[in-house]
Amino acid sequence: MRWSCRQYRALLPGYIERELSPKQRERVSRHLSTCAECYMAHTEQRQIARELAISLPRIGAARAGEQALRLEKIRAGVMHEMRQPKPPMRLYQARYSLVALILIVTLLMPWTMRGQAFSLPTPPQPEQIDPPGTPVVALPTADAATLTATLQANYAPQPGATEAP
Amino acid sequence: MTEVDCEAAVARCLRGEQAGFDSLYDQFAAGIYRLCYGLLLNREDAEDVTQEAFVYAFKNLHRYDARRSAFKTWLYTIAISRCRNMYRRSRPGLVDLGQLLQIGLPAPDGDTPEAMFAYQTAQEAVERALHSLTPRLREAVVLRYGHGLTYREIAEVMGCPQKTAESRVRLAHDALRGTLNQGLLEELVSI
Repeated sequence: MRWSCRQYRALLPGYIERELSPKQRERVSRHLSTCAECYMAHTEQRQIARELAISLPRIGAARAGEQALRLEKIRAGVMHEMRQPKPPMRLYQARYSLVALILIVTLLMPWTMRGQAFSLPTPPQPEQIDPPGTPVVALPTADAATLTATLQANYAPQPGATEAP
Repeated sequence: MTEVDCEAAVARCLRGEQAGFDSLYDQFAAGIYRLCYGLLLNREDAEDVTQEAFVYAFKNLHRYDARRSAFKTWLYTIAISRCRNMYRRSRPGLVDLGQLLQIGLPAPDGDTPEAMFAYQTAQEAVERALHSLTPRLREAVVLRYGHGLTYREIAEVMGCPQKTAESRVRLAHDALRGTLNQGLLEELVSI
């Protein structure tokens, strides 16, 4: 597969630092011998890499005495903190935890209830006593009137009676 | 200190022996401070972050898994993470440029005016160059050239794929091309 110059340039840091595999290194090397632009980019990057390799290790370094004092100061701070007992949970941490818990429950609730209807369950249908196909016997009109009157007489609320709790 | 020595020191720490903590601190403190300073370019911030990183590492040594990474890489990961927190906390407008340009590189051994001038010029150029980079590019370039980490180690410390680490170093090269000039190398070598 043919690579573009962009792909070769992506490998230049590894090429300069000798971190490519021998196969990749050989391939980049062959390309650099034929592409003037990539060769120029390689030269520039190698120069910058050399400058950085010299200069950056010195950044943050100090003279021996000064460095030792600084590191001793930091060591004292580290050891002091190490001796401190673990602080109890602070009030604001407890509040944040509670709010987070509520949020999580609120967000998870619709997910956990997925597939379950939010409407009230429908009452069960009454069982049909008569098998289907049984002819309905109509009461005579007079019997029906008598039955209604009897029911009203028996189940009408008595005056002065209190409602059952 | 070899990796075996590191693991032995970690084991001593886990047994509660002070000598284990001292050994790890002596081995890595200077490097961690330099790393933090290279990324934050501020002495006080670098000291604070170095302290935070060691306190966190020592208190969480039981979480360190030698099979997953070297101790140095683990410690660098903690320091980088603390530095990132510091980027977020600090406001760029409050950086003291005067302080930036006065500290950093060690002073040259010779006190001749020429040496002092070359030192000052190189120091300013390097710090300006670092300051011009974005935090991610600065991390990549400081880890690579300031601490000699391989691209695989940089990827591990920065929490990104190796290709991304390589790409960040390359982008840093591109960004630094205009900042670092040809003459700087000779000045640095002469110091």
